[in-house]
Amino acid sequence: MNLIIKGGYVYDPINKVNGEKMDIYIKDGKIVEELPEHKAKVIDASGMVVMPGGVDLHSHIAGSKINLGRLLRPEDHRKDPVPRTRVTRAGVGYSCPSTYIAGYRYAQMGYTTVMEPAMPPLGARHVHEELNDTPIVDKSAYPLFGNNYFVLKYVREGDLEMLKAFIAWLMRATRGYAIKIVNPGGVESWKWGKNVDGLDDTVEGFDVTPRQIITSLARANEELGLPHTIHLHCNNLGVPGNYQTTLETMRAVEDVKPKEGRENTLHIVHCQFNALAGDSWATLRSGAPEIAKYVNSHRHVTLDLGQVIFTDTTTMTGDGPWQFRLYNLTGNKWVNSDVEMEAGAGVVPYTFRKKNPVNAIQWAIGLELALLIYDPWRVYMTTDHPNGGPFTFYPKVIAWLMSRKARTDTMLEIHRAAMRKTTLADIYREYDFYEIAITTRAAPAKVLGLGEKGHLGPGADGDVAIYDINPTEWRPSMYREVEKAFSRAKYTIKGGEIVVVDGEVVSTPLGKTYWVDVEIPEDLEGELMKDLEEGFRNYYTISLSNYPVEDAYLPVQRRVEVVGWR
Amino acid sequence: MMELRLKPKVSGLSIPLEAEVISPDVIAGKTLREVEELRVYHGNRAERLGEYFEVEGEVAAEPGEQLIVVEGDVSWVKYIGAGMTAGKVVVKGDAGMHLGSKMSGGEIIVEGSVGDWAGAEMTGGLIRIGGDAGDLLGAAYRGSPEGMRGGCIFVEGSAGYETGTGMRRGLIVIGGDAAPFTGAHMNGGVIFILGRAAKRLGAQMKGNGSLIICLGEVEELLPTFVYDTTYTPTFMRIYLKTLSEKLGIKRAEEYIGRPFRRYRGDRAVGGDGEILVVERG
Repeated sequence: MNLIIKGGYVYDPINKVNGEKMDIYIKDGKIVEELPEHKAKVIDASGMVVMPGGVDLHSHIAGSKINLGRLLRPEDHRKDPVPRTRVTRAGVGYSCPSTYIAGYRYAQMGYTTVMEPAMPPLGARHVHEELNDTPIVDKSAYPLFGNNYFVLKYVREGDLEMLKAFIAWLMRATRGYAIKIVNPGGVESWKWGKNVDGLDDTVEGFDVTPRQIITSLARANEELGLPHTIHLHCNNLGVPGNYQTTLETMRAVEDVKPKEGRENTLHIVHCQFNALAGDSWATLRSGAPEIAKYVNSHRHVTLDLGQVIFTDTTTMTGDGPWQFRLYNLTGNKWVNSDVEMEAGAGVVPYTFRKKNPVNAIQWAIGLELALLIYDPWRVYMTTDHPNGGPFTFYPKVIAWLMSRKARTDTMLEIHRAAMRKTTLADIYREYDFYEIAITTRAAPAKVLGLGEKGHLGPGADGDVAIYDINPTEWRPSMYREVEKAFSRAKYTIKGGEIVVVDGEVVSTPLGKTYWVDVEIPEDLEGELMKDLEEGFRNYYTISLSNYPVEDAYLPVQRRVEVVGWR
Repeated sequence: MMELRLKPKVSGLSIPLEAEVISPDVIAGKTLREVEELRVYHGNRAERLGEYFEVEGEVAAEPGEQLIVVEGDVSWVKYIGAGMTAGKVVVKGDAGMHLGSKMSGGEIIVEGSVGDWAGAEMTGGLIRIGGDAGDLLGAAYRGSPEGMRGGCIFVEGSAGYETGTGMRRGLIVIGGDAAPFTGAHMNGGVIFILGRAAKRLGAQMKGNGSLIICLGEVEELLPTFVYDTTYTPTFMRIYLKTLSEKLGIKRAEEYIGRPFRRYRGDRAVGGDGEILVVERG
């Protein structure tokens, strides 16, 4: 179907379109220069905001971890049942939504691309099965590398070529998209009941340090030229004073040469949890200004927020030791899981409370990061769904970013620590629609290396979100309206197909799964296979030949070819 | 109070009816006609309340003024009075599962017995059960950290397994016997057992003043409950008098002045709850 979106205020930061009134033409699922009007369906978007479809680069929507969360939390499902409609399936929502509901709800907010950021390689089949059941949105998954036996082995041996070959092989075997690193070394040490407490601690059983793991993987990533940088969940997450570890981590990769055509080499995920200053929970304050200062003066770092929402949610990370710590802090029920030679995970329900000083500070830190880092191209809005809060609260975060009044109103409701221990009250900056379009779609698409996403130039995918709000009449004091508009898109168009009208899903096409394919030189591959065969024979519960994910698991796929060795 | 009578047209449905609309909050302010049109679920089919009940009587404007009398045995009806906040429901027979679950106020009187999950996660109000209660009376639904958070449940007969699981506040009085795991995971609140208390009483009970008072025989206490003292607590007098006067449990008064053995636990989870067992003889 051909579409013309007429008369909307278009925000397309990649093509430097800032609120201009213009028409968007979509033909065969792609944006084109021009179309004759009689051959297309016309959508009247006058007085509305038109943006590219949203891109979320970090949201736990599929795989073993979220499934553990689903199993652990029947009470979470009970409070948000979703009946079926003529086109959509029934399911449950809230912090551990069922796969279908996750797809619908993203589309309802105008999002069309969502990345699952932590795929244990052994669970890759499960992840892809769930991604296939997540309709509408395009997606991909990042396999976990930071505590993988082979990664640690090659890092210890200092064999960068083999490390690159292993990365290339695992990306293909798991149909993954980017290198995810979770608490490098810490999860491996956790198998012995230990953790690492900084970049230069030694990993139990392997004579390597987290610093070596991070820099080696960053170097390998840039040399291979993968579309995204390394996607790093830092050490010491959730520990007061950890902003220094975060800064140290950023400094550690300063001298890694980025791949041609980009400046960044490191993405720090849910930075809010890693920007805590102070010596203990009692003296906790915000470390966001220090981090923002560093990021403002260094081009190689990007980060996402992991914004806290005051609600009952489920925390889940591949960071087993941290989840054990959180269990001890809260006394809530919990699950910890160990993935053989590769990774670990933990799930703990958690409620962020307005009157809890720590939670209030965490809430402020997320917004501080977004507002103190001047370049919206390098800081992305996420809640690290479901860790900081369910993704369905994104419109609320947008309202906080766009309106100081929204922030002040919330600050007056919550513990005064948010005002006293952070600088949020002194920040007057407010995002405009252009910056929101950058931080929620253009910038994440760019950092992910998704050329056809995040913009509305000719050749881009026909993913468009139309929000019923007039940017020329909108004022920051009207933040509730922006929240409402972004919660229920007037139209969401995915690949040239109208999928949401007035916030209701009207059609559910299956999105594609992106994965990265790097050709490995033959001699290197032979050597790697010998290593893998031995490792699998000795230590794995499944055989090497049963390990890789077959194409049958990716009915709609988009292979991103990368030339790793020239 | 304005009385609305619901006469069952059928009896003993094999697939139970889910009728959370039988609640003063839903019915108040509607016309009789509208009450008949209220939606109930029979299996996966949505149907009218009027198909299963003859509706007569008066409808009040406010839930607090509404009395609903269900005339007859409705053990096939689930969720009667679920989530109600005010008013009164009387069932002249047995009632099904989830009766008064999550209710926060008002009163439910069942003359017969009730199914499982009665008063589950309730936060206020009063449930009186003339017969026996099923399992999981006043309990936490699966997954929830907290069960009953307030209000009062009085069962004349016996109560089933896991009564008061995860209880946080409130009062449960069991006139008859209590099945195993009564007060498991309790973290506050009070349970009186007038009959015989079965095994695993208060398993994994935490603290916060959680208290199980056994006025009858106790089959066996967990080894993780530690004997502490024998005493005659002053508050017991007030409690027992209140039970007698407010709930009409006259035999409670017999125990005034009697010494109790106190056990603390469950030490398996570092708990600091109490089980008081009346001294025999």
